Amino acid sequence: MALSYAEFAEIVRSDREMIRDLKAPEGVAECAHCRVPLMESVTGNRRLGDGAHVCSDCYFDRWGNEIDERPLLTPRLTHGS
Amino acid sequence: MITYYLGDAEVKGYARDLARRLSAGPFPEVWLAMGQSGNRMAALVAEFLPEMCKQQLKVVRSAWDRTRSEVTFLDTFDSIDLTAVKVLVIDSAIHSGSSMFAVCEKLVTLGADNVISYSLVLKRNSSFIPTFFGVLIGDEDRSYFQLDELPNNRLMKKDGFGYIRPIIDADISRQTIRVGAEAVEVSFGDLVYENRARKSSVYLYMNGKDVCGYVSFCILGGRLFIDTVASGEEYRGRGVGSALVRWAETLARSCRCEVVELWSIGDRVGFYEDLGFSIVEGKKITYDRNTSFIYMQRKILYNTKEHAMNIV
Repeated sequence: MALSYAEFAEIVRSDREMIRDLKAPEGVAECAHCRVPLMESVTGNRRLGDGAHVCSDCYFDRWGNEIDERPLLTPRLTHGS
Repeated sequence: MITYYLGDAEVKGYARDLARRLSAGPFPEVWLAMGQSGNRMAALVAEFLPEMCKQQLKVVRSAWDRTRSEVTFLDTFDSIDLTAVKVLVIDSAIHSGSSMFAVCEKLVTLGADNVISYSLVLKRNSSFIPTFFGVLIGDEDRSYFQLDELPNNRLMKKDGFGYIRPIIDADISRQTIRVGAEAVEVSFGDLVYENRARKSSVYLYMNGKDVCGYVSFCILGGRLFIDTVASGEEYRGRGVGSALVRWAETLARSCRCEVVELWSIGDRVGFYEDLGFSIVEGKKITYDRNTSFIYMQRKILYNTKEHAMNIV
């Protein structure tokens, strides 16, 4: 059912409190890895290939772990002397 | 890239103006608030409404289901005849415009034929221009408002250490560091050469006197190309590679780059696809039977469009 102004204002207040406590209110997705509520301008929100959404911290962590194991190096043709 | 900080006083100013305009004419009794930030904006605008309008107001909250790419209503329109009322769709920021467009379309299919819309912030290349908006910003810009905390840029999530700096000529005398499981031999001479002769940007991740890792990249024609990135074996698992690619991408965004590109080892294409990269057809290097490199790219901002206006 649609909310009255008073009901709506109360939900907005309590949602804001939940987000402050790093909990996701109704309708807000969590980072699939660290569970932080995804607020695009604050946490970033990146979609992975399997459809999961993660915060940008977890996204770059994942990439960094790959770089630890397999550095990126552009292949170059070398010419002998 | 510009970061816009709209303080509470400015946001209240926009809210007060909208409330005055809404209550001056036939008042939209039904509001459709989009997401958490839309809820906050709607609540603020409603504070400035005359008491009579507040009493009439009915709010339905909505959320964007990213998995299914569709809008969901968290409350229902029970007992509301959408054909007989004026509806306001309200959000705080429109990026691509696709979600607000989807909401308005959905309302129309439900029978609403008088729908108006508002967003505090609107991005320049949005495919949806609302009836009212506050601030027009570039696609690569950011806007912060109504937040309890403002996120600092950061190299690491937590437990940070060290710093990043550009390579200098004196680094040429450093000993090559061991990196990765399949050791990639890149000397500091190579990196200084990349920096001086090929005009690549080369940055070193430093911890005291130690180099923990390095990244070499070019920013050309709206593209960030990551040439080399590696972290030292001794610093494995401490987020060095993560910080280096994050710094490169942050710089690229500030230079209004649209895509990030790299050569993936053939058997790691799946990993980069998982990170949102896609294969660029026709660009493949085969070394031998076991080694190939595939060229891949990913958009830096998901909501930039092919037809984006080219404004400098």
